[in-house]
Amino acid sequence: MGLLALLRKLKSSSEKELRILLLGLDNAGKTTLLKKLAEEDVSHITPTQGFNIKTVQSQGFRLNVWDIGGQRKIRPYWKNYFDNTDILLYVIDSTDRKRFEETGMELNELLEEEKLHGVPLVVFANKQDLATAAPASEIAEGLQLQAIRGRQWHIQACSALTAEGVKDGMQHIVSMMAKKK
Amino acid sequence: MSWSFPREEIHTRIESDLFVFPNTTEYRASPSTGRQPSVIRKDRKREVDMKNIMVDGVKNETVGRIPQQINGQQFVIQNCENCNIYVFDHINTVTVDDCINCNIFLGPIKTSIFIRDCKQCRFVLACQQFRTRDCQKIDVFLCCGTQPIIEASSGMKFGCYQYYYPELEDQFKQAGLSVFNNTWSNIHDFSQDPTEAHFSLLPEDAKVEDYVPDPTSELFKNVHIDHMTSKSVVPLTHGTRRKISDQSCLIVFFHDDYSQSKVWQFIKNMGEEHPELILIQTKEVMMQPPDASRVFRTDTYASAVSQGPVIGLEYNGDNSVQCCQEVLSRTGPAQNTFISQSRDVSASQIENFYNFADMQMAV
Repeated sequence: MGLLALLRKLKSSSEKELRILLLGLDNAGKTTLLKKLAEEDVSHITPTQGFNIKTVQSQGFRLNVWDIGGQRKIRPYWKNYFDNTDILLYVIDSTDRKRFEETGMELNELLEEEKLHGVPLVVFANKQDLATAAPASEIAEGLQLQAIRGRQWHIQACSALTAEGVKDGMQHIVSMMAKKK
Repeated sequence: MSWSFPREEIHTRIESDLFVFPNTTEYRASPSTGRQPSVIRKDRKREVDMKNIMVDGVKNETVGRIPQQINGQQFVIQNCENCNIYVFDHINTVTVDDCINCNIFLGPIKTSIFIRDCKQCRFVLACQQFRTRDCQKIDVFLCCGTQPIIEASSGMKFGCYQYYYPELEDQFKQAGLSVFNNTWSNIHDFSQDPTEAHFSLLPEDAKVEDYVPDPTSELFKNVHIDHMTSKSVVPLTHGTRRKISDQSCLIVFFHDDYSQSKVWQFIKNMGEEHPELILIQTKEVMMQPPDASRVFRTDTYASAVSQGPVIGLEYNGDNSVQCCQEVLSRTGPAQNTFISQSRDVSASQIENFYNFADMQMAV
């Protein structure tokens, strides 16, 4: 392989590397989703005190997924991870009606962040396997996702625990990136 | 077992319009049979299901569920005051919100329990994840597979889970919880305050039944609870309390058909023959041959660890190494076990084993 070809190959492979930020309130299921994306066992997950990072290969993309703890006390640190984010994944516990307003406020603050300007958003309406889960349509309405301007967005009903909807969500991430390029 | 209690009567106090579900739940509506049930019947069924998995707005009463009523579904407790609430079944996940002065027993929880805006409550529960926010004065007898976390909570007190009824052991299995993985005393506080401790440990002699009394109502008459320490499905551990001696002993049982019962026999014998020694911690964890070489500093156990998860015990007390060796040799053939050879090496073995186990438990 000539030097030029090698450089080209390096360039094209680095172009396919994506930085994905995984945020949401505590107990939303971020780490379970992260481990499911990486096809790992989800039965012994501990509450995240700092952050977790995993690299997932999908359809020629190398996804570096950053999962940051969601307790109220540590949400101010989320901003330290905003730089160079290609996609924002926001996880919601669809059964946690008590905190729908809180999660909506946190999401709105994220969408107003300069550093996340124009970054595509995928909302995961998680825990759909549970009986009290609100449907994704209701959550989309409550969060007023329709009012989002200036970025691609998608809401995905899923259960990170059973993996339902997780692949579909991945599909959307990849197709969003294809569109963005 | 057949349970014939008046289901409707118990739930009539629960408002049925708490959850309003649109009929268009495209995600969940996937009938496995070709026959589509009518929307009305579906909504009616959902309403009954909702009532079954909730206790909402109850005051000054004893309520709950008996084995096989929840069967791995979620459970929700909210807006209760001065109640005794018992769920004698395994559960997927639990939220407890806005409760005051309640005594609550919950069967093994497969994923997380989240307790919020509660005060002056007492719990007995087992779970994979324990989380609280905005709580005050909560006592918990806990079995937790991961490090319990609290946030914006104060006056939290923790003790080691102790409970028995005949169905409980199987419910732990259904929930995927190991009775040997219990980090009840190692709390992480997200709102640490150098001037004030938000949590402490319950007195060593605290009795579960003094905090959450056994139910006396008719509904629970077939749940046969026993508070004898030797019957508890979770072993009583000392946790992070100050140790009584600088000598500890590590005993590891490698997996075989009898390893669980050998562990229990050993704990029982230790309790009878050496009540002065204390069980600090237990752990059930998978090990690969290279892990075993690092932890035990020998390749001897490479094949033993490949059989399945190992169970490790730490006993503390003067002369604990010698006493454990003697009890172990009387408990049965020493094959498929590891025990510290001398007090000179036991400290580093315990550190190696539990550090390894903690690493395995992290993501």
